[in-house]
Formats: sequence, C-alpha cells, structure tokens
Amino acid sequence: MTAIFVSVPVLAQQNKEAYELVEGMIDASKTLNYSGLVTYEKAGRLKTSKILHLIREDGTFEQLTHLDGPAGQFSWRRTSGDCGLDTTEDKKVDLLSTLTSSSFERLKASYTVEIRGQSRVAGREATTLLLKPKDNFRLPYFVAIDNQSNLMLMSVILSLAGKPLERLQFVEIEVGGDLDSMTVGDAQINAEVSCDTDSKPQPLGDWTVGLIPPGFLLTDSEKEPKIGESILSFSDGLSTFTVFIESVQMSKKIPPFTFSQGATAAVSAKLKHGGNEFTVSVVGEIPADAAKKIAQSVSHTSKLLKLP
Amino acid sequence: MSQYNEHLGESLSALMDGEASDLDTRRVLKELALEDSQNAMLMREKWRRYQSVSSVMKGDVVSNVDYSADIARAIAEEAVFKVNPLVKIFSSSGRLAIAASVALVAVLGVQQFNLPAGSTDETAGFAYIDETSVEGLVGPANQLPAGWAMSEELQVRTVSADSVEKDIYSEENARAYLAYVLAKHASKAPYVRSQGMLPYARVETRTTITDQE
Repeated sequence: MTAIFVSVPVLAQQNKEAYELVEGMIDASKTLNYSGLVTYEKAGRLKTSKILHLIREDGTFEQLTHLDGPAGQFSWRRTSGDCGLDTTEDKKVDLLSTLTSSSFERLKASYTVEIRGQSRVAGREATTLLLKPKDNFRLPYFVAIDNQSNLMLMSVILSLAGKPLERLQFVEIEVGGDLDSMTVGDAQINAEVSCDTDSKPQPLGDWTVGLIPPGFLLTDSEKEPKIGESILSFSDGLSTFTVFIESVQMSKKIPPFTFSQGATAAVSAKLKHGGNEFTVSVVGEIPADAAKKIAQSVSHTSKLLKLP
Repeated sequence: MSQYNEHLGESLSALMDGEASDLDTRRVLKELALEDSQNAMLMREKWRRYQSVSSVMKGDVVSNVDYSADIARAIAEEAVFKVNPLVKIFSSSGRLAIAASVALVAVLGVQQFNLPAGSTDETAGFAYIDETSVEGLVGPANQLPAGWAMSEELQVRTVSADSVEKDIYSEENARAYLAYVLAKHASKAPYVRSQGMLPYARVETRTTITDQE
C-alpha cells in the first residue's frame, strides 16, 4: 500500500514534466533561430539535409537543402495575419493551422507522454520521450529534446509494434548566435503560408469522411477545379493524414492500391456513387489499417440526405 | 628421450607459439588426456614453464601457483545441462550449420532490435525496412514502386481477361499518382509545428499526373 501512495504522486510529477517538455519543445520551435545538419532515414535509405529556421517579425523563414542525391532546396515562410490574400497563386501554399496551444490540448488527448531517459544527440544532452497513441489510429513517436534549448533533436516514428519506421535526427545544430541577426532574402522562397493561428477550413460540400478518428480535426480543405479533385487534411496535433477524392475521369486511371514506405501509408479505394466510380485515397503517417478504414468510410453527402 | 617424446615437445612448443598443426594439437591433447601418465605431468610442467618465460618476456606478473588441477575439478563438478537439440542439428552438418546459426543470430538480432516501446538503444537502429516493400519487390506488382501492392479487387480484375481494365491502369499513371498524393500530403503536413521540417524531408518527386494530360 505504501508503494502506491508513494508512486502515484511520483508518476503524476513525471507525466507533468513530460507534458511540459512537449510544450517547451513547441515553444522553442516558435521562438528560436537555429540551423543544422540532419539525417533522415526510412526503409533502409538515408538522406542528409541542411536546415535553416529563422524567426523574424514578418514571419518564420525555413529552408531545407538536400545534401545528397538530386540537388534540391525548399524554402518557405509562414506569416501571421491576413491569411495569404496577397500571395500569388504559384507561391501560395494552402492555409493550414499550426500546432497552437489548443492543438497541444488535442495532442494530450490522443497520446500519453513518458520520459524515457537521458541521451546525447548532435553532441548535446537530451531528454528522450515516448509519445504513445491511445488508440490504433496513429503511430508512436520517440523524440529527443535538447536539455538546453528545448528543441527537438531527434524524432523516430515507430510502428504500433514498436519498430522504427523513420527517423529524423540532427547531427549538428547551432542555436541563436549569428542566426539572430541574419537577414532573410526573398529570392528563394518557394512557398508562403499565412494564418499562424487556427484557421477554420470548411468541409467540402460533396463529400464526407465517416470515420474521423478521435482527436483528428479538419485542418484544411481544397478543391482542385482543374482536375475535379477534393482534398481534406486532418491532424491530431502531431500525426496528419490527407484524404483525396478524385473525379470520375481521373479515377479511371488510378488503380486501387495500398502502399507503405517508412511511416507513410497510402491506401486508394474505389467508391461507387450514382452509377459512377470514384477513387478515394488516404495518405498519412498513420497505420495502413487506419488509412484503409478511413478511405472506406468516405461517402457522398447526398447519401446522408436520403436517410430518413 | 624417445623420438615420440621429442615430437611431443616440439608439438607443445608449436602450440605455445601458435604454430601448431592439427596433428600437433591432437598429439598434445591425446597425451594430456592420460592425466596420470608421466608424459602428461611433464608436459603440464613444461607448459607452465613456457608460459612463465613468455610472461617474463612480456613483463607480465608471473605466478608459480598451478590452478589447472583445481579448475579441472571445478569443471568436472559442474552440473551438466541438456544439450539443445538445435545445437546438435547444427553441429552435425558442418558449414551449413555455421551459416544457419549465423542466420539465426541475425534473426534474433533483428528481433531484439525491434522490441516494442523504446529505449534509446532500440531506436538507434537503422530504420526498419517495411515487409510490404519487400513483398512489393517479389510480388506480381514488381514493376511498381517499392512498398506498393495492388488491391485484391484489382488483381482479380486484371486476371479476368478484361484487357480494357489493364490498359486503363497503366503503371506510369499509377506511379505518377502515388508520387503526386505523397507530395501533396507532404506539402500540407509541415504546418503542424511539432513535426518541424520532417514532412519536407519526405518529399521525393514533384511530378503530377496532370502533367501527362
């Protein structure tokens, strides 16, 4: 009995610390300037990239440069404010919510966080955490958080059975210093993202996803008029998945399939509606079974209206 | 000293220098097996002397105490454990056995590597290669990207001599569509802050199916 009285407060304290660490990590990613080298590995392959992350008054500038394989660089800027009304079409990336304090609450609802111990990543002392999903609709994350800056130094996505599926890890990181005063050029920005706060995307009128796992919220909806495609994105604050509903025309070209590589699963299924066959694809860092169930749950809203 | 003893001395010396042939080793072991024979005692004494000389030359500590008899007795008194039948099988088939046991160790290693719920050690392992991607390489859909598997529904259709279906689902289109949805998904994910830049690291290509139209 004594053991119970002792261990419950200790456990509660550990949990509190674990959640505080996650919160600190999110804060750090919003406030600190950093650059470094990262390795990303999945399915037995390794990629190396250089990362630059700068916080400025007019938004956050991020840049990722591939250091091996075909040369490539992505840069993008998140701005807070007028929801991207000024951005040109080719630069505009869909409005999407970022992980704010409210989505941190959602994360807490979907995952338990445990402190696993101390480790060293990129030459820095770090605390390792395991974010365990509370159901089978999302994957566990194993992360290392820098003790000094609270930045995430390593993130491993595990399968539900605990096997590492993909890993992003800093091998070298520099925080603050000269980066705080570095100027950001506009020339190389590939993408603009606006609305730093939770935007409120509207569900697409025609289609509805019957199975949205608990904790996941619609973060973005989009219609591609050119190819008649509807896209819905969902996030639980950590994991994300995207649902694609293709036009009848497009659907004829797409076979049903299941695909998984690293932590990403993609499932494409056929949906019959009004004598036509549509393709529904679900892509996300979620278990393939979950993606399949979600894909199969999509239906046309007119079906719902017909119900008594 | 008989010629046999002379040979024995040479064999022992060779063993000491690490240059013993199979014959030398066998000769020494055979003689040592006769524990109470004079030769065995002489050899043990010689072996000890050789070791002492070697230790002195190397600057190691030299001890005159002979533990060998005590150790031998202790080993003899150890409880005998039942031999694992697997070991018997492996040891009976030479090289194959070695290969098989190496494979077994590899399998065990992988299993230990992939134990659930993570300590640092297990996640420090190389990212896991999906079973599905391996299946994809050897399965009927081996022309498609790794990790790809056609649904059963489609496999039934394609074998049903319905050539129209086959033509519609071209591999090129399927591949392009997959690349497109992966890239599109990745472009939406970065704005979940907790993931940082991870989603962009996932992007492989940016081809879209619409480009082909």
